[in-house]
Amino acid sequence: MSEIQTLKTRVGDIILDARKAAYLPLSETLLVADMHFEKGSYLREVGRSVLPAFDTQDTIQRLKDLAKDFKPKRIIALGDSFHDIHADERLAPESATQLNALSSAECEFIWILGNHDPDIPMAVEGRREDHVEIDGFLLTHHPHDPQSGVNICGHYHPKAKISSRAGSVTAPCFAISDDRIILPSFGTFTGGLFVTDPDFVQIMPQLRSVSLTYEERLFAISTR
Amino acid sequence: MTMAEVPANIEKWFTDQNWEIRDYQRSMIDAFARKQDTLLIAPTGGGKTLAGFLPSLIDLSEKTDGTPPRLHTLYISPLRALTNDIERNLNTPVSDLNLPITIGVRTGDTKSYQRTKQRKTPPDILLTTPESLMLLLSYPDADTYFSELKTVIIDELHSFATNKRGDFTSLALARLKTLAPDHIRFGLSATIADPKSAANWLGPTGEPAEVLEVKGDTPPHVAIMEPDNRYPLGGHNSRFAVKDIYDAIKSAKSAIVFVNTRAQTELLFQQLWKINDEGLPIGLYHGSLSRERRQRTEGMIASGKIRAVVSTSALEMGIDWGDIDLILQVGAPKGVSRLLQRIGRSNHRLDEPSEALMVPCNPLEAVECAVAIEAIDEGLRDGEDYTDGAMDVAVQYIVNRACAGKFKKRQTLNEIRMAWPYRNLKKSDFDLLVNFAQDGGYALKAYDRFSRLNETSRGYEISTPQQARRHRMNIGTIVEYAKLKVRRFPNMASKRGRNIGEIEERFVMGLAPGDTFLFGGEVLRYHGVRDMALEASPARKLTPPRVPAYAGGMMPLSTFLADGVRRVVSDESQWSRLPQQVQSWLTLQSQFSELPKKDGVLVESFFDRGVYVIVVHSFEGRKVNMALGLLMTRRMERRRLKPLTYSITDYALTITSIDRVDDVESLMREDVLTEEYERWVVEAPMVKRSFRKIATIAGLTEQRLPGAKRTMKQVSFSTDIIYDVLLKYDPDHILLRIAREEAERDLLDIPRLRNWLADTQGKVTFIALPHASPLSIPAMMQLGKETVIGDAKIAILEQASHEDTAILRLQKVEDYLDERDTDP
Repeated sequence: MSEIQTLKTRVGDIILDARKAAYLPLSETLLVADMHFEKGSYLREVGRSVLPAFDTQDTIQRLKDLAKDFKPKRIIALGDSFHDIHADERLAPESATQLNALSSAECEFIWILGNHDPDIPMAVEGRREDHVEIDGFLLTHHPHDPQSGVNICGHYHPKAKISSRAGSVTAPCFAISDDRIILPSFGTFTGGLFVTDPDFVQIMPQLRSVSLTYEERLFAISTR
Repeated sequence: MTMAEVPANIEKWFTDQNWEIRDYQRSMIDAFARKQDTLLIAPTGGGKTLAGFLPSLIDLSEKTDGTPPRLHTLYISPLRALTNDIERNLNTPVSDLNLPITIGVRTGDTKSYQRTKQRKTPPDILLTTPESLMLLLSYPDADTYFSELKTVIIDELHSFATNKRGDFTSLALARLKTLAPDHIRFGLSATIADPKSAANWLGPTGEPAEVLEVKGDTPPHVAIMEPDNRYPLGGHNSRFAVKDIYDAIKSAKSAIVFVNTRAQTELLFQQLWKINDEGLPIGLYHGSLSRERRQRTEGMIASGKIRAVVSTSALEMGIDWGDIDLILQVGAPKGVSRLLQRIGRSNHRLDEPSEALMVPCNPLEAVECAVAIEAIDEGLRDGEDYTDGAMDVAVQYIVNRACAGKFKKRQTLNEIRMAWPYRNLKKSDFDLLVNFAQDGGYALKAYDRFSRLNETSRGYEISTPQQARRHRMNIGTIVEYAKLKVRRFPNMASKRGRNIGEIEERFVMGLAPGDTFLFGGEVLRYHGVRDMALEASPARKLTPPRVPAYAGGMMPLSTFLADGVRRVVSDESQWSRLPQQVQSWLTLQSQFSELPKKDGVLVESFFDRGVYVIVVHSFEGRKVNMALGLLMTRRMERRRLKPLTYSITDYALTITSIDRVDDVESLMREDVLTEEYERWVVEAPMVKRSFRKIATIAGLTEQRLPGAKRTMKQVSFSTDIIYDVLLKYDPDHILLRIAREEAERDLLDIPRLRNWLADTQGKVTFIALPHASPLSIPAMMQLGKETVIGDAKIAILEQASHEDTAILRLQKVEDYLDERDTDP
């Protein structure tokens, strides 16, 4: 069973799940970022990969597992849910059906639009939004400076490397500062940006801690 | 022995060279007349290669004008360099005697206009490599091209008969037999431990070749260098002996300095030039240098313009270097046959002994050298392991066959079985291989990419011309890491760069602009990567340069030598042959700890910089140590001893852990092979590793240069992900099975581990020490070079995240959900 970490922020609790998702208990909202559906098929199409494209199936399955656990009132995908604007042509009908099954009268699906997916495939249901504000949390794809409150976003696929004399471990992570939490990428085939990378430091100079996800466990490490 | 007729002009040519035709050379002429496949084992320098070609030269010399050009003799060499050299040597008699014979070279280095010409008008004699031969066989006109073939000569047969490249070659030979049933095969080799098996390999299945063995009567002079400085306790750096090496070079007319890895050639070359006060012409040679560079060096050696060349095994075979009078072996020899092969590079005359000097780089290597010298004196050789042909190679062959035209399953299976390594190939396995080649197998079926064969009523054929092209670009069994060209600019501002060789992409990824590194014998400054080439210019030596790492540089230690080393180390009475320094080192070991015993195993343990270390001195070679490491750490995980890493050398296994290990014996019981093994089979990184190679050879993924976009490149390179996908969706996939079998046998040698565990039961000597013993230090120096394994990752993460879980508010998701859902 997966491990979770309850994080107290200045506007309320957020729960980080080691399966690379987050949950807002007050509003019962499940958050995932950067699913990059159809990346496998995209890579195949541009001819550089021989990967069998099981990534979309896999990602949806993991999302379904989370929804089954948390039974959220709302699922919000924080952008780059689809890898490219032609993903709709490659999205298998079963995948669309499974995604649509996640939204119901009890659970609303909201797609925040990202740079990879300014359009969400027609076949997929759910609201499209540029950003969403809930209980002081500002949910966006790119980082956004909140007036007050806490910004939760994606886009950067943060990862971190822990080195010791015995060797090193690299894993996706949540990057946490007082006013911003960047979620790891939820997609199956995605790379990442080290939180120590100058580009990342520029976005999050006030990085307070990272929580690494590894095999359904969370490892919180202070960076100050 | 019947003595064959030799035409007068050829007899005379021999006389003119001050040579006489040797008996065994006549026997080869006779074998040609009798159409008898023959394995010729003769010492280097005895005219072995000429013996192989002589029957062809005679037969071709009788050729009448106007016969249409047809390939008569095919020569297969494991090395490209060798083909160029043979061409030079053959051209001498051909032009002296004015014979109407054309000779062509066809390798990966051959320019495309020459290839086209060769395909249109075949030469009488074609010199090639297994890969280029397979490529020729993939063209639809292969049947006419090879139809008049009379002889196939396989040179340096020992060097590849027992590996995948040998499997690959045997399949090509089987195909040739179908195309030209009348030709015969000659195998040539200087050192073969098991002539009978080699003869089986050489002939078609069921018809072993005849063995013609010529004994050399002048054993080489081999000595171990006694350096002025002390041996380093571990590692493989020859810096301590560089002065002695230089002096040895000065004393010789011309020398080859063999080292074991490409990185070592670069290092030693640098070190030698630093002290080269006399400005001796000292060169550098390894397989990553550009073709031009290599050919220039070859030319310089052949013409005697060079005093010494520092080389990897790339110069190990065949080439007649005339005036080389000294061989230096720096580092451990790793095998008796390999050492003999290297020594044979000097002094190509039968009646004078070759001279060689060995320069071990640590005390254990010195023991290994002594054992190798003893073996040479006693005429002993490493064993050779003839195993069943690899299945991934068979897949590649099946696709190759399809490229040339339609085939029927039954005929192709029969043909494959005529290759000795595949004599036992099961029909059911063959069907699986064909199915895989046809559509990739169940989980991959949906993708065009994997659909390589079409089934028609008249047999199987290649599905599309693109698939044929893709296949041809990737023929071969040597799987290498992605490489980048190295483009050297004379200075930072210059726009005119020149390619000087190739470097592994993995190494480049660790470089930042401005970093310096050693390549081609100079220090280069890295600028960046553009158009698939690394751009660099000569650097002033401000910072110590890095040395590129090359994969595959690790040569396996022959088990024969490993046993010898254990025997010598354990028995004080045999130390007299060792350098004085090494004797004192062993004495120190016996005083501080214990000497390993001839049977049983010594295990030492100590605490070192924050971790507990155990060193298992198995002396069983890398494979067994690797397997033992996997299984022991797995058992330690189960006992929550928190193992961190393990690393291996040929002689020992080193495991680090956070907790102390007191009961080593139970970690090494035979039941690790049952209890831990099952889990291992499913998730072992070794299986993934062998899968990587297999997927490439079997054509699931290509070796290709990296593209511009890094993220895509990383994904496309990741056969690991395909492995995971197959494991999840198609666990019975044929490639997974092959990967498991191969990992068991080739990467880990489970059968040998099983015997060893049985032999050492109840004979484990466990010693706790205050710090590392002399014998443990070489093993310790490997630590940190391996990535961490399995749960060790968790241990590292736990160590890093030492805050209290209560403060972090960590809990299991189900506990949280229980709380949430019961507490309104």
